[in-house]
Amino acid sequence: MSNIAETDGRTASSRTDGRQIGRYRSLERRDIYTGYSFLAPAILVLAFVLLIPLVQAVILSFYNKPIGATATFTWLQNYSDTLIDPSFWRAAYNTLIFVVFSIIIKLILGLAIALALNQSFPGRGFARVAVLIPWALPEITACMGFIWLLDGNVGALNAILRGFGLIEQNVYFLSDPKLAMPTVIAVNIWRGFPFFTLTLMAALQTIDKDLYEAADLDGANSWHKFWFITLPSIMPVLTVTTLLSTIWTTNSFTTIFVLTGGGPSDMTTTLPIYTYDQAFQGYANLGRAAAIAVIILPLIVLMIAMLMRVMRKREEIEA
Amino acid sequence: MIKTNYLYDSLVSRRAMLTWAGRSAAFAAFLSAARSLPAVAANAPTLRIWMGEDYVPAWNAYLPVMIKKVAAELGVNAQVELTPDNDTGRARRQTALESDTLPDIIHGTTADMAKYYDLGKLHPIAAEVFERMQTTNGGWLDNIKPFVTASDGKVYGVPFFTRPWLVHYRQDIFDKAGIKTPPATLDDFKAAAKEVNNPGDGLFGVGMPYNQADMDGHMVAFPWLYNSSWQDEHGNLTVDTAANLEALKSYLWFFQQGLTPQDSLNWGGSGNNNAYLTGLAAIVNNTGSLFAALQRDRPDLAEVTALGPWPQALPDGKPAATTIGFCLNVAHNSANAELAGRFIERMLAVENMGPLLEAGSGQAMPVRTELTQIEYFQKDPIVGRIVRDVVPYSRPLTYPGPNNAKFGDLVSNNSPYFKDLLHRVLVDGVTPEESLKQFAAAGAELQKKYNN
Repeated sequence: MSNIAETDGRTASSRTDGRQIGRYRSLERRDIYTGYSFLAPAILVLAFVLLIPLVQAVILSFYNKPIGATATFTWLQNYSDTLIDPSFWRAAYNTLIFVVFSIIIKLILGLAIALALNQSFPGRGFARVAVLIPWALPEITACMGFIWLLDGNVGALNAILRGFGLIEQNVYFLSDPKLAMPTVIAVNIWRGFPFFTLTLMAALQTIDKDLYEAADLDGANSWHKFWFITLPSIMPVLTVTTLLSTIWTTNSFTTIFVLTGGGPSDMTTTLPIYTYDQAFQGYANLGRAAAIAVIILPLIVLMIAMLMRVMRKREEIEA
Repeated sequence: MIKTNYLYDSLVSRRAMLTWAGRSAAFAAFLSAARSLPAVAANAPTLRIWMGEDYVPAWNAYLPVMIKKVAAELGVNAQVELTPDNDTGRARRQTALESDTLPDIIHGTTADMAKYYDLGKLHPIAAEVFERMQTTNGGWLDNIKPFVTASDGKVYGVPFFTRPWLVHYRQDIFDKAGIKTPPATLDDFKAAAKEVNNPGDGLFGVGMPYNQADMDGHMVAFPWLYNSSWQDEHGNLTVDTAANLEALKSYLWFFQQGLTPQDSLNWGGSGNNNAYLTGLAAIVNNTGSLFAALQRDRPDLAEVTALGPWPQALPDGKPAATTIGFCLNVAHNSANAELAGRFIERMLAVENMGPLLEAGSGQAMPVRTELTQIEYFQKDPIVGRIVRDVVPYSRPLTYPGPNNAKFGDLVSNNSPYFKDLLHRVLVDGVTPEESLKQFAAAGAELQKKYNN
């Protein structure tokens, strides 16, 4: 009996379990549907503003499409034209130089200033605000200011350098082929280092002070403390900041467009400027510009994937 | 070398400045009177009109008022917008072109409109208006038709005004150096620029642009001075020729001799204007934008400025003056094309266009015979002489060939190809011969694309 009862009980219980599992599954399904319904507006918006344009750009890249004219299918012509164009490779090289130098210097400068501003000193509040000004200024306004500052003939910087007797002849910052790229890099650094300072300063403030006290007791010097405590502690933020800034710098358009327009002789033409030129200058071919964007896309996707990976790792560590 | 001897006296005298101030006051009164125009019925047809914004504030103030006045006369609602002549304005027009949402009436350079015509975006009504106006009140100036004639020989736009390029000379500097102006030939011009060139003291002989902007007024005209051109009378590109090579070398000479500021490699549209306005360059060539800016901002400099076309005439003995042509057009899909045509006709009537040209203070020149007779051009000594001596002989950028999109892409203002032609030599160290060959190859590539 008991066996039967037990069996019945097991049967009854497994029936109950089955019903519960079914209910759970149904609830789970309902949760999933609810979740998707909440996500739907965001997915729709993203599809309209990202996915559809992306697909359209890929399709467009197979067409010859001057503005206002009918598109004609040209297979891979835009891709082959781009890849054999020496100007494309020059723009890719310029982009590499622009990004690498900008990022390295922004990182070093931003970190150094963040470390300095993390110390106590009179006027620290003012300094913290002042350092953010380049980042807070509208890019176009800042660049117009730099045009006047750096003008080779009537620019303020030349006047100052002459005034101090540092130069005898004016320096053509924006039109000297050797100086144009360093100059646009310098302006990009000026605009971008406060972002590093801001994020790293926030990261520095989260480091437990006990670690430094313990290190002091162990006789660690400043370099040891920086290398073994500060740097590892801020590394996740530093990585995310660097990746974000790398993506933004790679796509940077305004600074170069306003300061040099890519000149002289394409010395400062980066991939975004090259893409713009193909789309809107001379024989404006939107298809060719789309092909360039598609060629660059894997690079940007790779950087974003790295960024996501770092952020996920950070979340795991924090969890 | 054929000589010309055009030179106009200093731009303004103190008396002229007073006249200018008086004219501004008269415009203010006109504007206030125009605001009390009769209202147009709400159910009247509406015309969307895009006009180009200009350098002269009085022009920008008067133009919408004039359009509203014409609208009131014709019983039309006019939605007028001024679009800037820069990247923003260009992007807006390109967007409208791509989405086929051009306004009923659009204003642009004859080169831009040639492109629109090539794309089939313009209504044939413009040709009818042109023909109608040919037979009224003296018609068009004799040299105007080529500005709005396409490769197929058809008229594609209604001429609106022209903007000749004029060489501006610092008369005081040349007088002091004992140099007779105007230079009679290009060689004299070069010698004069070299003589006064003194970069150490912040003065360059000449402010020639080497970048994308303003190339139409310079690199288009230089081959003319060597009895050559970038295209023939049939619209075929004629780039890689010995005469064009000579013209290219001649243009590069100014930079290679250090006669022009190095910054000119990066100058935008106002680069050489700024060089002149700040006293950096003794000679520059620009359109009425500089002419107007001098009157408005630097009357002291205007007093010592003299004007003229390039210092060498063409084989027909007439000055080598390039002119940017502007025209009005009707979009191919306008629902009120006939009305738009009549609207344009009214805009060009002397009682409407006359005050507009006066508001332009010399930056816009007439295209119709009757407009050359208005009081402003009769009384103002400088502008009047330009209207008499340069405007009737000025040539479109496409001279001696027709307007066509391919040529416009190659040589128009903001063409990247001229910039590359010069930068390859000046920055990359390529020989002029090789650079010209690459320029010719770019032209051939364009021709191929347009033929496809």
